[in-house]
Amino acid sequence: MTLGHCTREKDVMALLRSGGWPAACEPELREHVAGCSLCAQAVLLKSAFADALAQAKSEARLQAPGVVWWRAQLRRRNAAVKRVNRPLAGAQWFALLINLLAAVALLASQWRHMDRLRSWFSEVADAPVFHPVALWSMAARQPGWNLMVLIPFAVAFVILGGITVYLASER
Amino acid sequence: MIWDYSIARVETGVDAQDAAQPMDSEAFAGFYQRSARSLWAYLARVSGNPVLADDLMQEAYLRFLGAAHLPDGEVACRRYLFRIATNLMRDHWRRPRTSSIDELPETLFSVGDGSAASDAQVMLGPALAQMRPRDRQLLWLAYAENYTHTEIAEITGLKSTSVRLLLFRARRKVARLLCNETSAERGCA
Repeated sequence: MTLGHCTREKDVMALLRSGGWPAACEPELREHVAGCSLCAQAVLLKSAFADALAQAKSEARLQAPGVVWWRAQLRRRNAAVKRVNRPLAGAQWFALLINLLAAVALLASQWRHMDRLRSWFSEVADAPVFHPVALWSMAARQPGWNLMVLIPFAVAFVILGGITVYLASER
Repeated sequence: MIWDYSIARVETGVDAQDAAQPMDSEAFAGFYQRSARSLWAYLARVSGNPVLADDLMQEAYLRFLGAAHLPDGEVACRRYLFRIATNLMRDHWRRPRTSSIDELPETLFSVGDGSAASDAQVMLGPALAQMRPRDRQLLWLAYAENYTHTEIAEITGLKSTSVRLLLFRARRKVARLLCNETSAERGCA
């Protein structure tokens, strides 16, 4: 494809950019533009786009630069938190994986004892001590058993409550 | 508390090079005041959607401020900003869930307040609506922002020679459209 080119187009464009068209244009150049389709095209386009630019600029609803700056800072901060969190998350996944592997290894090592374990569980389940009514009557007969149930519950409650309060205050 | 300490360390210590602020808030405010209207005009006229232009402009500035290194000088910074905006617009059009710019109604490209607009601009809206998005970008950068072919190539990621050819075609097409509309009303020179 042959690209059209006019040697005077640069002069015309320079005048258009400086805002000198048509007032500061020499008559000779104006005559040239009237006869040159490429330069006339440049004048038409430049005028149309300059007007469109001025109109669009007046339509723009800009935010305050401080708001944009603040959002950018927030984004940088979040990115920094994410960067710091990344190795921690990695360590957590690694720990989980190690625990799972340990659990699988333990199960595999104890596999041959499974039958004995199952029979032991069935015996334990049938034992009267695991029936709530029997347990209640046994605890009623021995007052020390109430404390044995109550104290671990109370300790667990205090520890979990402390952790919850600590995490809440951190946030 | 813990994170504040860690973040402070990240920003001032180990990753200082990444986190160093390339522009302070006062310099940014000045740059923003000088560049934001032009950038919005570019985004709004090329995309044909003022709401999208608002979103993309904000994102462009956020990415601009998030850059680890900014080019030297305001002209280069401005060009870099336009490049970010151009890439954002391209990404938006590529996203399948959003509507393509080619599907946008033609009225989006028309001027809102006709009384304030000149004849040429009233005609430019419909003419641009018939152009491809890339042609609109090239024309706007060349004729509204006065960028050279090399600068347009840098902003759009195209080769300079391709810009010349594409711009020539786009210019011929839009001039023909403008002439058709003008001649329909009062005749084109």
